[in-house]
Amino acid sequence: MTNTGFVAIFRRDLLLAVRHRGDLSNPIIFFFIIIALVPLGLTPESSRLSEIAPGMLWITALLASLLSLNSMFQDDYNDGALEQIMILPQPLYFIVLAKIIVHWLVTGLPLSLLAPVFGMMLSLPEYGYLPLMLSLLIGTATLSLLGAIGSALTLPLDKEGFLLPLIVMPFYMPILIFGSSTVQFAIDGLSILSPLAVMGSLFALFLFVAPYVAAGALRLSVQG
Amino acid sequence: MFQFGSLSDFIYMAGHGQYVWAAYFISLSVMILVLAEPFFRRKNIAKEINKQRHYDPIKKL
Amino acid sequence: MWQWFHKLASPRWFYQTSGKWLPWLFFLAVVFISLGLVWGLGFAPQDAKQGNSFRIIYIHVPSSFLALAGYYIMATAGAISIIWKIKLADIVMMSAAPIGASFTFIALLTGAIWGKPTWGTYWIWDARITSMLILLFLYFGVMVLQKAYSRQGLSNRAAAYLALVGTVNIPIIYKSVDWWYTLHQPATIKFTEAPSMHPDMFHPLLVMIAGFYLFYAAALIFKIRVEILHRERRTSWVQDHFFSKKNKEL
Repeated sequence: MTNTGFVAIFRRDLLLAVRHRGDLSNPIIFFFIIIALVPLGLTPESSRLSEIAPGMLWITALLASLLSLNSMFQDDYNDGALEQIMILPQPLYFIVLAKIIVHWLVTGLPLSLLAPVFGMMLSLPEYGYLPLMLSLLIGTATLSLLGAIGSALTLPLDKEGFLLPLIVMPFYMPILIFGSSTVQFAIDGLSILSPLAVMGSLFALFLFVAPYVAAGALRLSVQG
Repeated sequence: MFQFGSLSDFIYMAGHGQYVWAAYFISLSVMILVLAEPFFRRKNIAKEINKQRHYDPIKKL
Repeated sequence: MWQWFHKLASPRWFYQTSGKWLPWLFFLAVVFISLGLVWGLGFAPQDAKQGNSFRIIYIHVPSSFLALAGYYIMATAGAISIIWKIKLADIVMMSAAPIGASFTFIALLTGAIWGKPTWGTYWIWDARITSMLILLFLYFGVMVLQKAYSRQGLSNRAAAYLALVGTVNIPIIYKSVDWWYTLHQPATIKFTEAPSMHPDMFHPLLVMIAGFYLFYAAALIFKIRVEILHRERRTSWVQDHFFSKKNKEL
């Protein structure tokens, strides 16, 4: 089938990401920094921290994802590799999807797996750990998808650093709402099925839509 | 019928006047600005065209 | 039939045709808004709970309708531009963006001012204000993207993509903010208690809504016309248009 382009780009991007181990740890370091700042800025009291923990953890994940978006297309765009990749016979949808998946594997996935550690640092109750991980797994995937659109649209405009967050923020907000609600519901003893289901359907929607739009935007970007 | 006894009542609006009038004033000003921008832009275009015309007297009318 | 469609897409045709209707549109808008203003400010009864600050509704509600409608108009123009590659659609989209953003700003501002006497605070994170704030960000994103690329055509195309994705997202945003808000606030005071609004309060609102829509249409068409003049300023029909005007003044 038309797999070869997908697999090739997937392998290439993954290899590049692994080689730049420093970049890999950036979202995690960022997370640690914010989590360390929160008690210093607010309060070290466990009870108050646990109240804000779900939201704070999710906001930090969102910001970490935002900061790492550049790695998806920017480097390839800057050295001209992107244009070459776009000439591949395979549909651009799959190529973009490959890049998005690698981005998630390298940012969202580690974040989600390490989430219980951060949760513990913010006094998140233990039964919130699993919902936190689940919501982050699905949510960061959706954030990567949405971020691809914003990133592709703003490729030639790297100098205006604020443009990408401005564009992407409104789309991130529903993910934030449902993601943090998943954790909050678990803490409050409610079933997490409904917010989690919404997260799932948003993920499915953007899994379908985002690579198409990003591909179209990439075609624009390479023209300047 | 008219809800207020006098003009000063109308302006004061039982204490809420500052809010109501501020809201109305700013909103209507923004709406006027929305109209003003193309208006002045068109003036600029006209000026620019007429300036060019004077440099090109040969241009056919 | 395609001839008509192509004529529709011609900026010059649009300019000449809209010129006949625009003064009437303006006139009607002014009439309706003035009527609504006088009626709402002076003749509508005040609200039992909120007193006279309730009168802000006559600007707040129409502007929030237009904030949302304006976004859809902008996105639709963007879609037309992408599908049929009609330059005029690009112009409509470019013009609709700042006008829609202005109405969103007005809606937020009037909502905030209304909040002070009603709830004691200028800003309150209720579902409607929060959604409207996110809508403002959506507008800003489109507006900034429209100026960002080196070529206007590319900028318009990128902004159109963004507007379209935004269209998909607006219901998601509204629903999720609504859901979020009902989780955190058991009892709310809604801005428009429309079912329980007395007709004497409701009728001027209808007039203002109509007036605002008319105003939007007039402002949009006006802005489109000026953008057309700007883009076509080197053509003979535009040059003649201005030059003969100047001669008339002389």
